[in-house]
Amino acid sequence: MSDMERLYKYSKYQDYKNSTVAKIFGNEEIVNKELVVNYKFNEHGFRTKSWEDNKEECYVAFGCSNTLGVGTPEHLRWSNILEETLAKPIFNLGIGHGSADTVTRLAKGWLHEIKPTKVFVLWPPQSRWEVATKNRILTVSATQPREQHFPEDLAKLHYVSMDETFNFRINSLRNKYTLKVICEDLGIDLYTLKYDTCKGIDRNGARDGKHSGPLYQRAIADKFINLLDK
Amino acid sequence: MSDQHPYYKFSKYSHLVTGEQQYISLHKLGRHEAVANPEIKLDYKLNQYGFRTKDWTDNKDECYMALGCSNTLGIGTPEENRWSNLVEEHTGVTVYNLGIGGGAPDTVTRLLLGWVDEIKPTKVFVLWPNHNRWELGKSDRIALYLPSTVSSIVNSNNTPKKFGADYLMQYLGEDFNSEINMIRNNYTLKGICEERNIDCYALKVADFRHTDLNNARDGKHNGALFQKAIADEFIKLLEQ
Repeated sequence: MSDMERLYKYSKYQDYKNSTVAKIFGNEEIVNKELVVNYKFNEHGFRTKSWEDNKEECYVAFGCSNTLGVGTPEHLRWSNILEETLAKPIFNLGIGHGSADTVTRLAKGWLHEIKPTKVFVLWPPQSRWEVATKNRILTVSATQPREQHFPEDLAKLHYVSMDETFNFRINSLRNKYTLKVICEDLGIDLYTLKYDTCKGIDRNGARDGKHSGPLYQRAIADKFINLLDK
Repeated sequence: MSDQHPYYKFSKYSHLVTGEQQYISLHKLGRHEAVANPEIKLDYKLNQYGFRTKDWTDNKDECYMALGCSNTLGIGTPEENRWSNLVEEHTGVTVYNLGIGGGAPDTVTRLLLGWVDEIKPTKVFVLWPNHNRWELGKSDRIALYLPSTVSSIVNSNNTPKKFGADYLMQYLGEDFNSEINMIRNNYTLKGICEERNIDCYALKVADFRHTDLNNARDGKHNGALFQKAIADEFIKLLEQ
């Protein structure tokens, strides 16, 4: 695989390939202890089944932590609820802290290989984007410096890239067109919602007390089912 | 797009056109523009929006749009020798040229989004700028970033610019960032045109870079034969 191809397919969970972990990042809190959560990763570093030997018609889900299901048991994620309802495998390529850039990068990297007939996207927050650097992909986010001890070099990235709303609005628009045309070219039906479509539902109800909980996931799945019914 | 951000329509030359002027003519577009081939006579006539093209405000006829960098704007090239003017002459349809010096693939899709619903072209021609350039909206203007400008920014004592340089060094240092940005812009161009039933024709400036090298007036840009070669290629695409 070339360096370029590897970056198109890159998941930041490289270290978790083919393994199950109790926490996805070191400081992930356990606030709602009644939720039992494990993260099982496939051989490519995604929290989903392997698609390598799949011969059936299948679908793909893209998005950020709300799609990956941080703090949510796998079977309660919106993509798993959809899978159960539609009786087709849905491969979930959600990435924590993912951006619109992540969605189109992974779409370009994986769709021709997974060959789904439908793609579902829960668009991540607009104010994030990706930069490839030193053989990995970083997400730069407008909220990150406030929330974390941000390394100096990334703070500088933030300074020039994120201080104008226009930049991430047009970036989001370009990603929307990109995904639409990629799917059209491959004959894939595309269904999209924004991450904040069901904002307020089961707020902080995930295990980590930060992400929205199972009722939010259910509501997103219902919204996608409504789109399919239309 | 009535609530569209003003950046979408921004031309870095718009400040040159002031007051009620519909057009302005300038001998040079930049202070440092050289005159290496003085036998080439030209002026830059900019319309009220800061583009080197006719004013489209009252146009009711079918028209086309051309987008790209300095090679589309025609730095150092008389207007009538530019590829967009040659396509206009061949087709008999007005081609509005929204080329911007130092333009990036980002510039192409930003200006298309900004102007397409106002100009309403039936065809769009794009000469893609080099893919290792891009732009960011910043302080009421659009800043264009080219690899060649990075070192001057790095060496500047102006601290905010140095931050910008760090970003550029990281971004431009990775071919993947340039490649995927180009791909996204290409899909965006296609998506915008498909949505509006506009025919779209695109070529890359890099594919013509050795034709008539340094023969524009400034001795840096390619000359009239380069412009003609691009126009011929677009005409071939039209006839296919």
